[in-house]
This record gives sequence, structure tokens and C-alpha cells, in this order.
Amino acid sequence: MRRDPRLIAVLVVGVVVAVTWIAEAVAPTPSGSVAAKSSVIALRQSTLVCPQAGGSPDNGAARIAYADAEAAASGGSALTAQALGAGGSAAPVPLLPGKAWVVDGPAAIGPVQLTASGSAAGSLSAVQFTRAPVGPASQISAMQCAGATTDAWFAGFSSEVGAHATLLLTNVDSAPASVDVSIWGGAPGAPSIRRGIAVGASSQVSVALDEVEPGLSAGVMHVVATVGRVVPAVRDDAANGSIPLGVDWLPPTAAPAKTQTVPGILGEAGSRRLIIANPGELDATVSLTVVTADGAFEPTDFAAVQVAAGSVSDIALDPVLQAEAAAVVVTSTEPVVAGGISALPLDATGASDFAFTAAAAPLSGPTVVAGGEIAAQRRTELVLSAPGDDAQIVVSILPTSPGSTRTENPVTVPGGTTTVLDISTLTGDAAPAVVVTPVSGGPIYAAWALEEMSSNGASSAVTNAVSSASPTGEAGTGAITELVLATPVRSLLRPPARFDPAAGLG
Amino acid sequence: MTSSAIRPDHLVRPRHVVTAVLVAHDGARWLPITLHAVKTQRRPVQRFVAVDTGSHDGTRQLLERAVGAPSVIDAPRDTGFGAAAMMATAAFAHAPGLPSARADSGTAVDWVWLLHDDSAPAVSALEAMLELADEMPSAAVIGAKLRGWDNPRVLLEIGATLDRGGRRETGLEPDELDHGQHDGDRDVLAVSTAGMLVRRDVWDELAGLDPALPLFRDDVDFGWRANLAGYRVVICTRAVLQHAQATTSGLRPIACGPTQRRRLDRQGALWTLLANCPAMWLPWVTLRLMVACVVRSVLFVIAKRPFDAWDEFRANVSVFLRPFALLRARRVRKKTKRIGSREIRSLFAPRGTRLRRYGESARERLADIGRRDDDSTDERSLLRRIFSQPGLLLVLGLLVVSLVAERHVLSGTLHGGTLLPAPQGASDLWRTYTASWHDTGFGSTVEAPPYLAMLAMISTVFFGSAQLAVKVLLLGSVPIAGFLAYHASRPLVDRLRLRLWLAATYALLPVATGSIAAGRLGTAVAFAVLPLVLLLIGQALLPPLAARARAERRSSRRAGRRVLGVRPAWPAALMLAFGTAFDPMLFVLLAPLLALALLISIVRLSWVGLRRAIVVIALPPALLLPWSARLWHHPTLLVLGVGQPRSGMQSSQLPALDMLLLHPGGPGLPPIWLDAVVVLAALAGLLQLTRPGPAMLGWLLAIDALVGGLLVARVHARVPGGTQEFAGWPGIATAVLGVGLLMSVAVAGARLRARLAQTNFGWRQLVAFVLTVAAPATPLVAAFAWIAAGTGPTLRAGAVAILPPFVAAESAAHDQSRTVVLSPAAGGAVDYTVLRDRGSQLGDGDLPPDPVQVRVVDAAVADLAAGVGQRAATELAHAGIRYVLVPVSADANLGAKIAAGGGVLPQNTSKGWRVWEVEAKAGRVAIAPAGDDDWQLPADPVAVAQDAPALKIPFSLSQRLLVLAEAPSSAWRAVAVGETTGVGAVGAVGTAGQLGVVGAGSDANLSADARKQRAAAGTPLAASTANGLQAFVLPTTAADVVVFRTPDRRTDWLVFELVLLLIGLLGAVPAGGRPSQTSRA
Repeated sequence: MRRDPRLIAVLVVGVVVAVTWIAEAVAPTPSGSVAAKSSVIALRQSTLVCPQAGGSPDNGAARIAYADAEAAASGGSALTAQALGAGGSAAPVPLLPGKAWVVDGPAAIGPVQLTASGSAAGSLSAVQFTRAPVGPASQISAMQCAGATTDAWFAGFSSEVGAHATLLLTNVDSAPASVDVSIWGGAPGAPSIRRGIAVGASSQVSVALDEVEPGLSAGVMHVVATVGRVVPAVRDDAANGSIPLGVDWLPPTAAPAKTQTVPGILGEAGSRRLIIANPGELDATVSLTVVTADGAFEPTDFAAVQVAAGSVSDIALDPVLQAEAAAVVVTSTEPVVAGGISALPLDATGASDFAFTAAAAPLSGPTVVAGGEIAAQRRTELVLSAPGDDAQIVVSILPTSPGSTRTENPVTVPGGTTTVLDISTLTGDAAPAVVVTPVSGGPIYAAWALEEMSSNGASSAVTNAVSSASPTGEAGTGAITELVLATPVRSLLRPPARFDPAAGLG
Repeated sequence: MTSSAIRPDHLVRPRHVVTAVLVAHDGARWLPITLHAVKTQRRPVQRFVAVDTGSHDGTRQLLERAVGAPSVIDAPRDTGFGAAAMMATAAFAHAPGLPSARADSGTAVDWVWLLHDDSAPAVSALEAMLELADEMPSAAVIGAKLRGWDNPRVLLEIGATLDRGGRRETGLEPDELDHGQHDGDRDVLAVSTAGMLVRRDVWDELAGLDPALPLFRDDVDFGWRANLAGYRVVICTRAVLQHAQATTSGLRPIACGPTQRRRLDRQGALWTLLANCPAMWLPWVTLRLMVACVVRSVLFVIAKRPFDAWDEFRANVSVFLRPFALLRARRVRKKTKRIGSREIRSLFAPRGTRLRRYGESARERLADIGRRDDDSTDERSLLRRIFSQPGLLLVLGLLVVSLVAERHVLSGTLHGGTLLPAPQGASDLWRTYTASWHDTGFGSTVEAPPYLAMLAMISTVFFGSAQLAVKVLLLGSVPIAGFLAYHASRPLVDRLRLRLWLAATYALLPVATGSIAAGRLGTAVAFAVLPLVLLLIGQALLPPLAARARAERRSSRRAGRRVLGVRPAWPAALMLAFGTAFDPMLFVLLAPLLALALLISIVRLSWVGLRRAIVVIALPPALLLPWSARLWHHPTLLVLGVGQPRSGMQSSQLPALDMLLLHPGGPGLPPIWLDAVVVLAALAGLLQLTRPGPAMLGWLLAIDALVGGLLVARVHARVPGGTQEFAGWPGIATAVLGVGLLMSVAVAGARLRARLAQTNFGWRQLVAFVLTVAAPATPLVAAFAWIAAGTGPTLRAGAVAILPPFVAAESAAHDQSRTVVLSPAAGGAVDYTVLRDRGSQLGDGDLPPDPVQVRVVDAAVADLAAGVGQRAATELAHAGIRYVLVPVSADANLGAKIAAGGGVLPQNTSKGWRVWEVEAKAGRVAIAPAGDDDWQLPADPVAVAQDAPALKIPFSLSQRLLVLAEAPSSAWRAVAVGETTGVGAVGAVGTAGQLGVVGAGSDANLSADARKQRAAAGTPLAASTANGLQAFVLPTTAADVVVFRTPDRRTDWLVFELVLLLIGLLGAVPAGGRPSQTSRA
């Protein structure tokens, strides 16, 4: 019997088609690899260093605020404070959730280390505040205690005659660190670099910048820890003979970028300077947008500011600002670093005080700032800028007094404007802290300004309100200081790690 | 004792008196002719004496009839030729001399003419010899030219000599015809005893043939002695003798001693050499013969001739066990020696005769193969022969295409994709394969895959360079596949062009370029040998093919007509095992068809077929044990294949149509439509399916591979213990599918013309025309597409040294700390590897670490990359990791995060790497106090070995563990060694201040053996675990601790594999041919 070849052929083709069709129909559902996604983990521990806390309780103190009431109630959170170096033992500090409070520094002025663990790690804010009496008046300075880093920028210090800018490098790790410092501000071009500043384990090193690079009216500095980590802090202290011209800490500014936003240019009279440095190797053309209470505008004078490669540009903003508080948006063709200086006008004795601001990122979450002062002749302001769209925020007051509780104040900052919020309108607490929480809308930038009038009369420097509050016209200087708000890192992105023997090959 | 003088009046050469001595033994078959030849000599002999050594046939009667009963001497049946001849000469020793016919012819000369019962002298033989004796008075021993008995044209012997091995050397080709080309009288070392004419006085002086040599080599021995005694031994080619060589060729059983011809032959050879060689050379000759005995015995065993090996051995034993007899023989010979051995050196076979002989036969065999493969004639020049060999041209073409396509990866160490860089030498691969515990970064106890052993073997051939071997195998897989496919297509089709097309199309299948692009060494090798595997399996299991192979073999003149039995299954099984070692899926794909063959042979009751099928099915998995057992337990490994599985090397959802079009997915593939012509043309082969044959087989293979490949592609598998899932890559399945389709195409193509001629012009002709035009384009397009695309970005070649020298040095010595290498990957993930003192190398991907250990380091690395520095650093240190490396090129902010996270100290940037050192103390062995993250390291450099110096553990007030940064295993041991005072406290919870002073510093002076003994005698510490690592409970006293790993059963497995491999090889080598030529009786 002869079989029909076509029948077999059709049969085979049928089998092939059927197999292919079935395989196509039961295409697998790729279950994917396990744990291939990055996870977000909460920061479990943070160490803040206040580089020069201490002294008399009246004058120098670390002020601490802590916002996350719920987390603090849940266990596992702890806060300790200790003087850095030999003999410093960690003293537990009671956590006061939803409160601001003041912790006295050690009797001797020196670095203090605050270690927060548990959920406290993410939402703690500490401010080192110093009031230095000068004659009848005083000068105030403040800085946010910061964590260790390997890379930081500072803009606006001075090393002219009479100015003493100091770089404090604090190493809280148990291993030594080595730091390179690059300074721009002299002749355009390459920065002057000081390499290999050794910072021993658990110790602090002070570098006098007027000795490293003297004669700078506005210096810009890049601090890089090539080995280990440090907490860098820059303090600028200027005087004309015995007459103080001001003292304050420089807030760290944002790394070079083509767009920088410098919030917290204070209102009132006095010089307002914007410092722009171009650390790159190409000349930059910079245009400025000023965001004031009246709206944002681009001053024609500064539509195309040339900043040569490796040079620092010092721009006087007071003619443009007309005593209004503002934020400045710097747009550049090349990455630049920006900072700002607000100074009080000289009083009768020729004395003055200044405060630094710096470029910052917009607030990205609840941001705590401590260290407010509300008293006679002392005022605390929140300078809020929304260079883009309208921004809705909530300003929560964290009181110090035992009975009072946290109050929430919704605020809307219209787009393209700057709003100055006087904290005294929200609370009567003597040393309140605030939590600024962006709710919706455009990016919001914030600075925290403390102003003080001389005890014996009105400062010529301060606001109209202050002037009106101090009718007598005796000479005496006021004092200002300023902090730029930055949302702390509360969580870390933890990438998936995959074992692969070929990793690193080619 | 009467003479049988015949026609004395006309006696020529009257001066000579010749006594013929004929020794007969069961020679009735030849005797009549022999006797007639002797008696009809033109120059008759004067006396004729015959010796009958106890014959059972009519020999005795024949002799009596011929020479008269008185002239026949009886001898026992076991009398040797020499002894019999002596008896004959002794019998007429005192007989009166015969007067010569003419007194004036000079002094009478008495001769003895030795004859065998199977040697018939030509009529003029004696006359010619005596003529020579007259011409050459110094000739004392004269031999005749021996020719064949049945075929008198064949030249058997014209004198003989010895080579250095004691073998008899005639200087003739086998079956050489006598055209007079060797004629001419000359001095030789010896002449055959058949027809040997010896002067009586010489015979007496030398005492005849040596009775110690009953059968073989007696003639050579006698000739040698005669030469040394100063007599000339001459061959007289004018005298011709027909010789049956009845004893040598086995026509007659041996009665005078051991019945084994080979043994007698070797025994004679040894005896002759040892008894006659110069005393100075005796030790050297003895040694050489002993070595030769071993070598030859082994070779005989390999050639599956164990009895020959036994004979060889026995022969040596029987000679060497009689040293005194030998010495006696030498003393006897010394008496007659008159000239130096140096003077007769030219009579021996020149050095290397035997080698030349082997070379000639090998060349002949090759020439046979060459003749069979293509009909080239020898006259053509080499170049013309190369260019007229299509197979060679095909391979050369494929080689050129491969080299051009692989232009970017030709120099440097190959790596990338699933391929890890090969180590330097074959020895590294051997070490990896034979070790029971592997020093990969984490360490691994998984059985090493056998492809490493095969690679090591191949590397050994490539001058020990594993990198070269990998390069040749991976980059050369296309030409190799082309060559083997061309070779394997012979039984399929005869048309040359079709064969070339088949081979080229197969060699350039998408799976070839795909596996090279993805660095799939395993698949590339399996793909390359697949045609050979299928050919061998086909020859073993398919009746038609097997018959064809058998016919071929029968026609080749070597093998004779032997039944092949189970033999063809062995090479098939070995080759299948080889391919399976490189791609385990190969065996799985072929298993259904093998099972089918088994079933068919059961149904047909074919015992041979059944045995063959069982060998082919069972040998590969058995040979690949224990790896095959691991595959059985973890079938996902079948899908993943060998090498380091990587994502992106396969398509996670391969369309079924791609599989049908021979596209396995992944990088490095030609356009999808490339092989559509093959699939379409294969459909034409469907019409051949009515009869069993290659087309049906092809479609069976195709459907089997299609189903198997689709299953593989539909599976997402993960390495045992791993977290990542990979889709299967049906590479080898597309290769099998391709073979199946090509077989169908081959059949269709071979019959295309005939079939088309049968039918009228119509659609068939049109389709056939289109296909025949499109088909040749397939390999061409594939080649050009490959050349244009190159090997792609995955496979790279270049330097692979990762570890900076200072890191490697520290990892090798000191604390044996490890290094973690981070590399940011796509999707924000961080890939990492852990290294000891070397980079990852070939095989590490197949030796996965303990999952628990990996999970611990996974977490630490993720923490490190997240910026949780301190915790990560502690975790890493606890895992024994001291250094963190990040490539500068692929930093992507990872370095900044690690630096800002703290816990690590930056070291110098080295060769494009950012290097950090973990702050916490890290080493392979650490002391972990309970509840404290700050681990301590032992003071001395750490060595984990039984013969290593002991670790000095200081005393402690608290309970602590000794943590060994390896996966927990009962094979790890830690023992406290030292003096009893210390050991007494071991294991006990010590009290404060209890200080055991142990092993007082004598450690460095101890030998390795002493240390081993000490470790064996020590007190074992209780095992525990910490962080997923092996740990031991330390005593609170100070202690000297030795940490080591106990050996396991790997060696047993290796021996098992070796034995099985030897059995397979023995089965596979062609069985021994005829017993080799020995000297004649």
C-alpha cells in the first residue's frame, strides 16, 4: 500500500503550525527578577556638627527644633549632644516632639556634635547662634549645624584688610580626612588651591583665609574632602579698626549650575550684593531675574553680565531692589556659583553688620528651622520667594513654651513674588521654630532672617516698622543674621545590588 | 646413514660435499614438493638427513620413502629447529667423509644445507650457492632468496637483519614482487635457516643454532655469531627457494615451546639482542628493552589486544628472569668472537627503520582517506590540490569571513556576555575542575562543570594556553562547523555543490553569529560539533547508514571483515558527551530520538542495536557525573546553559515564528528573513516522506527541536539560589532544527532535477526555480550581514586585570581579605562581584556561591551605594571584604555617594578604578566578640590550611566566635592545637584572668607534615554560624587555632570519570588488526 506523500506533508506542516501557534498562544508572563527596583529607605542616623557652639548661655547656644511628633513618640529615636574631641561624652538630650528648644553649649567655645538616630534623623534642625556684644550693641551670627560632606561651595567671604574669614573643618569620623580648598576671587583664571589640609579623626582645623588668599573682596571657595568627610564652615568677621563691620557664617551654596536661585536678599536700606563666580573654563554670560514683592523683573543693567572664566563678579543690587526683599534667579550660559550679602548701612559710629545668603534648591518637603527670636527689638522673618507659579505652603510654628502647641498657618506666595512673613504675627513665643511645608504650586525658596536693634535706640538699618518702634535717634548699631532653608535628606535611594562575576570587566 | 649420492660422474662443483638437513614437523602438506625439489637439484646433495620431530601426520612415511628409513632421525615433538638440526649433524659427525669426484678441484669442503619441510629450493639453488662459494671462498654461511609458496612472484626475504628493538628486518615492502630489483650477492647479518648453506667447520665451531631459540631469531643469532667470528654471511640471490612460512603465518601450530607466536618472537628478539650485543651496551639495551616492554604492553591494551600485551609481558619476564643463562650464553659467544662489533655495524638496520615503516603506513592510510574523499591524484602540486578540494576551500572561505567579522575581538583576552575571561593556563582550568572547593570570590562547593576539563584538554594542545583555546573554539566555531558539516553531509548527498551549500548554510546559521556575539562558548562549541555528533549517532544507530559505514570499512583494506558490534556506539556516545558538556540542552533535545532508536531496536529484537542505543544514551550522563546529577536536580541549568547567565543576552518573549525561522533571539543575529528560504525549501523534502530516510529523519529532528526550543524559550529560569530570572535561549535547538531542515532540503535538492523532469511545467517548476536562485544567496547574505555587523558590543577583547597590584597582593597574603567591585548597571541597579586575589575567570559563572552569603553582601553593597556608609562598611568587613572598587568610567555618581556615606577611606586611584578601603577590620578570619560589631583580626597572616601556621588567638574575658568568611559547611574545621594546658581549657567558659599560654612560638619551625599531624591531633572547636558565615566557638583562653577544610569525595568522582572515559576510549578506538608481521619459522 502506497501512502499519499501529500497527506504526510500536510500532517507534518500541520504539526509544525500547531506547535508554533500553541507556543505563541502560551507566551510566558515574564515574572521579572526579584527586587530589581530601587527602594527608598529612611535615614536612620544623622550627625550634625555645630562648629563653634558654646560660650555663655546668653550669647551662644545651639538651638534645636524637631518637628516630627509622631515619629519621636515611637521608640528608637534618640538625640545626643557632645563636645567634639577628647573628653567629650555623649549627653542624651531629651527629644521634645513638635517643639523648639534651646540646648546650652559647653562652657568653652568649640565644636558640638549632635547625633540623632531613628526617625529623628530626618527632621531635626539645629542652629548655632552667637551674640557678640560690641559696645552698647551686639552682633549676631548664626548657622545651621550641618552633616559631614565631601564637597561644599561657599560664596561671598572677604579677606580684605580688616576682614578675617576663617574656614573651620570639622571631622567627626574616626578616620583622618584630607581637604583641598580652591579659592576664586583674585585674578581671573585658575583658582588658588590649597591641597591636603589634614583634619585628624574627631578634630577640628581652622584655616585663616586672609592668610591663604588675602585681598579678596568677595571670594568663592570650593571645599573637597579627598579623604574622609568633613563639616566645613566659613565665618566672616570684618572690622574697621575697632569698629565692627559685621560678622556671620556663610551658608553653603549650591554647586555650579546654569540656573541658580538666591533667596533671602533682605529688604531695607544698606548694600545688597550678589556674588557670582564662574569656576569653569569658559566665559559665562549671566542674566538676572529679580523676584520682589511687586513681582519678577529682569533689570536691564544685568541682562547680560559677563563673568570671565575663573573670575568672581560682585554685583550691587541695591539700586535695583529699592529696599525690597527679593530673590534673584541667575541664568547663565555656563555653570556658575552664586551667593548674596545683605549689609546694614553704617551707623553713626561707622559700625555695621552683615548677613550671607546663598543659592539653594527649592524646598522639597517639610523643612524645619530653629532659632527664631521674638522679643522687643528682636525680630524673626521668613523671606519666601516663588519665582515660578503660585506656591501654597504651610508655616507651622513650633513653640518653646511648655503649654503651647504647634500651630499651622497656610500661606500662599503669589507666583513671581517674594513675601516676607514676620513670625511675630503668627506667634508670641520667645524662641519659636518653624516648619515650612510646601503643599502645592511652584517651587518655593525660603530664608530665615533675624534682626536686632541696638538696645539704646533704633537702628538706622532696620525696617520702617522697627524705626517707628524706636523713636529715639541715638546712635547705635543693629545686627542681622540669616539662614537659607534647605530641606534635609530624609531618605536614601537604595539601588538593588546584583551579584555578577563579570561586574567591572570592560 | 647412507648418502644418496646421485650421478657422481656429472657432479658439478665436485670439491664440495653437501649434507642436506631437513627438519620436518607435521609437514605432510608441503613435504612432497620439498622432497622432490631437493632430490631434483641440478647439483645434488651428497647426503640427505631428515629429522622428524614427532609428527602426527604422514611426515614420517614421506621422509622414509624419500631418503630411506636409516636417514630419518626421530626427535621428540617439542624439539626446536636448532636442536633438531644439531641432532642431524651430530648423527653423521663421525661418518666417513665422501670423496670428492675430482681430486684436482682442491681441498674438499664439507657443507651443511639446512632445509625446512615447507621450503622448496629451485632446481639450480644449490648449484648457485656452491658457485658463490667457489667465487667467494671466505663465505661461510650462504643464504638463498626466499619467495612465496603460493605466489612465487612475491619476494619474502633476501637476508635479514635486526633493528634496535630486536625486530627482524628484511628491508622489503610487504607483498613486494620480485622483479630482480634486489638481486646481487652481498654480505648480510643473517640468512634464513630455510636453505642456509653452512660450512661444516663453522657450524661445528659455532655449535650450531642456539637451542635457547627454539623457533624464532635462531637464524639471526647464528648469523650474528658467524659474522663476529670473522666469517662472511652472504646472500646468494641466484639461488631461489619457495617458502611457505608455515609456522610464522600460523598455518601450523607450534609444538616446541610456548604456543604463542608473538611471545616466542619477542622472547627470541630479546635473547638475541641481549646475548650478542657488545658488553658495553648491555645495560643500556636492557633498560631500553624494559621500557619498550611497558610501552608496547600499554599500546596493545589500548589497541584492545590484551593477549598480545600479556605475551609481550611474559616474553620479557621469561628472558629477564634467566640472567645466568644469558650470561652463560654471552660467555660461550665470547669464545668464538674474533672481530669487534663495530666492524659489522653496517649490517644492522639503520636507526629509525621502524619509525619510517610506521610513517609509511600512516601516510598510506592517509592517502587512502584522501583518495576516498576526493579523487585527486598525486601528480598535482600542493597548491593546486588545495584549490581543487572544495571542502578545504569552504573552510578557508568561512575562516576568512569569520576573521573579518571578528576583526575587533581578535587580540586580547576574550570576555563579555556569558563568557568570563579564561585564565592564563590549562593548569588553572585543571585546578578549577579537580578542586572540590573553588576559590571564587565567595567560594563555591558546586561541582565544576566538565566542559572545563574538556577545555583544559584542548588548552593543553594549544601550548597550554586556555585563552587561545577559548579564542579558537569560540571565534573558530563557524569554520569548524562548516568543516564538520561538509564532512557529515557525505552520507546524505553526493552532489558537491549541494554539500558545499549545506555546510556553508549550516555554519552561518543565526545561532552561530548569535552565540559568538553573546560570548556563549558552550553553545558555539556544541553547535560546531553537532554535525559530527549527529553523523556518529546516525552511523551507530541508523541501519542504512550503519550498513553504509560498514561497507566502506569493508572496502578499506585495513579492517578486514570484522563484525563491528557495539563499537560504533562508543565514539557517538563520547562525542555526544563532549557536546553535552558544552551545552546540556543538546542531550535533552536528542534524548527523544535516542529513546525512539532504543524502542525500535527492542521491537526489532536487534541485540546489537539495543546495546548501541544503551551506550549512546547512558554513557554521556554517566561520564558527566556528578555534574549531570546536578542538572537533574536543577533543571533550570539546562535552560541557562554553561557560562555566566546575563540579562539582555536573550529575548524574554521570543515569537514562535522566530524560532521556526531559526532565530534564537538575543544579540548578533542576521535579518529575520534570512533562513526563510531554508524553511521553504525544506517543505519540498516533505514529499520524500513516504519512505524512511534522511528526509523523514530531518523532519523528526526538526519537530523535536522546534518543540524543545519553544519550551526553552518559554521558560524563565534562575540559577539555583539566585534571585535573577533569565529567559531560556534556544540556541542549540535552532541548530538542531537547522540540521533537520537542511537534511530535508538536501534530499529534495538531490532529487530536484529528476522530479521536475517527471512533471509538466507548472507551479512546481516556478517555485523550484525561485528557490534554487534564492538558496545560494542565503550563506552569502549571512556572511555579508555578519561582516557588516561585526560581533557587536557585547563580546570584547582586551585586558581583564581588575585588581590593583597592592590589593591583589594583600588579598593573597596577610588577612586574605576580599575586594568588592561595583559597577552601575542599567535601571539604577548596581552590579557587583566579590574577588579574592584574582579577577573572575572562566568557570566562575558556573560555580554559584552560597545564597545566604550573597544576600548578606547584596544588602551591604546596596547600603554602600545608597550612602549608608558606616553600616555598609561594617557589613562588608564582616563578610571579609576590605576593598571597594568602582570603575571611574562608569562612576555615575556612585563614587560620590560612597565617599559621602563614610565608613570607607579612599585609596589611590589605580588604572581607572577608584579604590576605597573599608574602615572596619576585614579579613578572611576574624574574632567576633558577642554583641560587638567591632571584630578583631588575628595577629599573624591568615592561612586556611591544615599545614598552615596556627592563628594566635589572644585571651578574652567574654564569649566570642572565630568567624571564617566562607559559606557554612561541615567541611570547615577549626582545631585548637598546642600544649595540654591550653587545650584543657578549650571549650570551657573561662573566668577573668585565666590565661592559657599555648603553643609557645615553635610554629614557624615546624614542617608542613608536622603541622598536619598537629592539626589532626588538636581539639576541634564547636561549629556555629554568624552572618550566614562559618563560625567556631572560641575558648576564652588564648589559643592556637588552625582552620582548614577537610577533603571530600571529588577525587572519587574524578577517578570514576577517568575510568569511564578510558572504557569509552578503549571502546571507540578501532579494534586491533591482524597480528603484526613476525619473523618466520
